[in-house]
Amino acid sequence: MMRYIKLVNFEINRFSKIYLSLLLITLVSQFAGVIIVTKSLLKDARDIMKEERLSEAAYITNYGSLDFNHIANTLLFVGPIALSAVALIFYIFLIWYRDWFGKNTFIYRLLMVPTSRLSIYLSKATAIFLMVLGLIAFQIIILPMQNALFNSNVPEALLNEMSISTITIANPILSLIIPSTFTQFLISYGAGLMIMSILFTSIMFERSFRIKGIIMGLLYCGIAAVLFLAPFFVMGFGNFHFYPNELFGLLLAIGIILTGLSVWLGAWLLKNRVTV
Amino acid sequence: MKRYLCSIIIGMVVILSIGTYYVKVASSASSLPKYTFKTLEGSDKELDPVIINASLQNSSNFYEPLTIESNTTTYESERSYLENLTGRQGHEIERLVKEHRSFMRGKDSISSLYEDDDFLAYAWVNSEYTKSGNMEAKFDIGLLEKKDEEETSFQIELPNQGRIMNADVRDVQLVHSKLQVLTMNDVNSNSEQTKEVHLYTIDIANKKVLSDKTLVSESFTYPDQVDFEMPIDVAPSMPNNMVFISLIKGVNHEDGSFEEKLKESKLLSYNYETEKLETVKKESLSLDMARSGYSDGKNLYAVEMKSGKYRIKTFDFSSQTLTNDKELDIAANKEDQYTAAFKNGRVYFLLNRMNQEGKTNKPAKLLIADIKTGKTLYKGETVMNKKNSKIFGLFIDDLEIK
Repeated sequence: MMRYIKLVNFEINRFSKIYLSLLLITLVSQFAGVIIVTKSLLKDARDIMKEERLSEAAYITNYGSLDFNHIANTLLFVGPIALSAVALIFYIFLIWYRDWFGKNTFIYRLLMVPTSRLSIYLSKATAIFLMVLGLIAFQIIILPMQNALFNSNVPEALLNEMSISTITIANPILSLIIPSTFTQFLISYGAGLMIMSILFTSIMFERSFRIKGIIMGLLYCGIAAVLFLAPFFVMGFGNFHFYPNELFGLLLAIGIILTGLSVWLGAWLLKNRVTV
Repeated sequence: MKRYLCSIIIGMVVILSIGTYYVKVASSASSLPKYTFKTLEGSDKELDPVIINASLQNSSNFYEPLTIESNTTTYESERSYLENLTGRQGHEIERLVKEHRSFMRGKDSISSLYEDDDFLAYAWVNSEYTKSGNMEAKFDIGLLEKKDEEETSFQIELPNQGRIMNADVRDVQLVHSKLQVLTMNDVNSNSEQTKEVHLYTIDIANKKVLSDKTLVSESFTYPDQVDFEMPIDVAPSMPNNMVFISLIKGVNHEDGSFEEKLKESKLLSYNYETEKLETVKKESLSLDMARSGYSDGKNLYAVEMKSGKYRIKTFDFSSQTLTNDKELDIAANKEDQYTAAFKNGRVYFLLNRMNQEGKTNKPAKLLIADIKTGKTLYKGETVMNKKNSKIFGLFIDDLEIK
């Protein structure tokens, strides 16, 4: 157990520089976005009011009031979220391959560590998952600050104040990363874990059998996708209808089995087949 | 310890921030105002079967669906994930799913269902469009014998499907063990548009379409328009002998407005038993009343607003006459919108004023009266348990009676 925690910590520390940069980029870009976009929104509004000689109330009826949605849809706001997502998806692969292709083939030492190979596999998965959640948590912390900043910068007459939960529901990207209910959160990130474990296992295939392994890895991804979507195929071609709760139960069960299978297979490959 | 600082910070932040966020989300749902009906007259037992589907909204982007069932408000966000997954279903469908789970798979359209003491029947037009734009359609037919739970389901080709663009099942009946399926079809034609009402007779035992009868066929070219309407069916799956079809003619003006030509429009009735299609005389039942009416298979009920009062008129199918005309003990106002339901020999009448910006919201009023005598059995209005919720408006979607 202690070894596993040590390994998780080790993986996080290894990524900490890039991770901190991602947090910093998000912080700076999003706050800059709030300030810059608010300014330009207000300027546009004032220009229109001047040109068309509208009062603030008339402007709101014609053009609508200003709300945080205007900010949350800009590149400065969404860009860093997308960047972080891409970086972490990329790191799913890099977390393994850097050990092989890094400066001093680190995987030698890693595989020599007197601990089960499963711990190595799990520690890498945990590190990535924890960092994803960390980014989400960071967004949840800075979002109310950004909202407050926006609300204080826009004159009350033009402002439509939104609560944090309304903002996250209204914006498609925010609603994707911060689901509206805790159950939905568990389901979304559970699905994320499943996909990550399947990718890890595909990487293990590649590391075990090289070129042949790439095909096996892709095949494994395909089989996993077909298995997971099997209930939908049954409904589409088999002319059988599942009730929504049955469908949910099936997907949940298949998801858990697939995740378990992937972890087991990945760890098994790492233990028995991976060559350095 | 210092070596673990980074991980510890991330772990703490994750748990605290995500945890706090979802605790707050959960608690904000319970801080929403709850609506209940305050009894002004009668017994609040009458409220038990009443289900009101509504939503709480304000002028910006706040929208929360809710249900007031047996005088208790439940928000959608308070329900479990699984409950919301199934979504809002009519209680009739819900009951049928409970009783006949296997048969009811994939059947969620109440007007496609027929139920009597012995049978539960289903008919649906399953259509697909080919790449060339033609429709390929099949009837999905199902029959359940309730006594021994014996299921028959099969698919048969829709007759003459080459000329049909769209077929919509509006009523299903079982008459002399033959399935009667009433559909409204849009017909393929080059220059003009054609709308038809069809009655298909299906022999379930031999899995055959026995007949395809065109009850009504109307062709028209733009800017003319023809629409078929049926009264709201308050007992869509129950056996009934008669259906009414309003044939509304109209014209589209160049400015985009639509004008109905009521003089050329007419009201038709079809009797499944006698197989007779008739034009209903204006003196016995007006087109207006039939269009806005509610049918339960035996009677047609219509709401009329006259000199500041609402009236409920009853038209009896078998005698083809107006049998009742009762005044409701509730004040009428042009700004109010009513939602009505007819069941258990009662009329359920819900009045709600759409809130306008800047005005305080009036409570919604509910009146339950005996249809025959017009006697008020219950009268009440909504009250909120929160005083500061004036910015919210209650929007009624529909009224269901168990």
